[in-house]
Amino acid sequence: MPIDSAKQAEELQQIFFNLSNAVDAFRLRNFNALPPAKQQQLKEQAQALDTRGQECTAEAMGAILQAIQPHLPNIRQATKDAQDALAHLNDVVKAITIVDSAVALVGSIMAGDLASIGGNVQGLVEAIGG
Amino acid sequence: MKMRNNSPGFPAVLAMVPLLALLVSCNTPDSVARFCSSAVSTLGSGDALFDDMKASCIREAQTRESFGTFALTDPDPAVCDDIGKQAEGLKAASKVLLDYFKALNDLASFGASKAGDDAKELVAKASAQSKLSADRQTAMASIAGFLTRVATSGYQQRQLADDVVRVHKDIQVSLDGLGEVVGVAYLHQLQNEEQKTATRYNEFLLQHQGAADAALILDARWQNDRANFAARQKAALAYKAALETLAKGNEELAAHARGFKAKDLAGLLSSYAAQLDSLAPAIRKAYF
Repeated sequence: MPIDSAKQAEELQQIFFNLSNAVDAFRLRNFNALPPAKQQQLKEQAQALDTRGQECTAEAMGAILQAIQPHLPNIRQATKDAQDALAHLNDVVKAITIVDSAVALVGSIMAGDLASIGGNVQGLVEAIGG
Repeated sequence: MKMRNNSPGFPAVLAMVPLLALLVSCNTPDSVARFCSSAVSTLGSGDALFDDMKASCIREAQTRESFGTFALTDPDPAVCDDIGKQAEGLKAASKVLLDYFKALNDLASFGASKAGDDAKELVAKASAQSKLSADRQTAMASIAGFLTRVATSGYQQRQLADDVVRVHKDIQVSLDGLGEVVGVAYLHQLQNEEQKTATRYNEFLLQHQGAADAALILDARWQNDRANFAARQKAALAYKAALETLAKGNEELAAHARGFKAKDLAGLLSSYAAQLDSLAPAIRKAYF
């Protein structure tokens, strides 16, 4: 069974945090009985355990990131493919719009409708440029 | 190929057009679009949680300072920087997933029926200039619209299916990883921050025993802190649950992508989208 470094780091993180909090709890429970120097020593030890727990947080995050990273190029490629497919579909719509404008223009010319020729020329130009 | 307008089969083709058009107008891309839209929203809300990972580490370091220190700068332990760097990497990975679901949403939202209507209108105009009778013109236009709709929606669904099937395992691994970071590592971090905050208040009161006013002020402050911790921890669990829902929905989508049983898939994805939407408020409440 392969070692799951992220899970191990998370378990260590929890162990170090629990130890740190246990040291704090002991110190506060015996606050009046412990001399100041001992108080300070226990406080520093709790903080050291706490820092070790946070290092395990960073290690767990790093291990998970490392496990994810090999999969990201495939997802990026699929994203690009979906974007390309949409661009292709939009090209189809654009082609239809262009032909639509051309048909309207031809219709106006055939009918001799001078008033609408200008508008249809404009429509065709916009469709091609759009 | 030249179409024979007067062939005996032509009326039959005419009769089939509405039926075929009905079949093509299935709502599969709509349900995919809704699911992907909820996915984009869920993944986007995760940024606040990733940003808070370093912030939580710094807040925890602040609990080591005595009250009344009045420090002008935040503590900046190296370990918090390390957490911040990893969080940035994970946020970037989340963005890759977000872009993927956004691209799928855009593709699924493409209006194949609009393309069909455009083509139908085009052929109606073109045939109006010919010598075809009115019913033939209508038929030509309907067939052109239908064929365009079939071509564009078929292409759209094929591309959607290809993308979803090809990367569903990659999506699963990535979603699991992001959920684990937030729902386990970050949650432990928040619980520890809560514990250290309580320790700081307790220690202050032990150092100032009998200070009733201070105890009342700290108690009020603690109630406020507790509400924030509870909201953040709930958000972390909601985010993990949302990513699990997203992964399950994506697996269902991949499993049904080739068959496209539109009605079933729509019902299935709608329930996942609804679950995602229901988890979103817990995430937003803590950070926005």
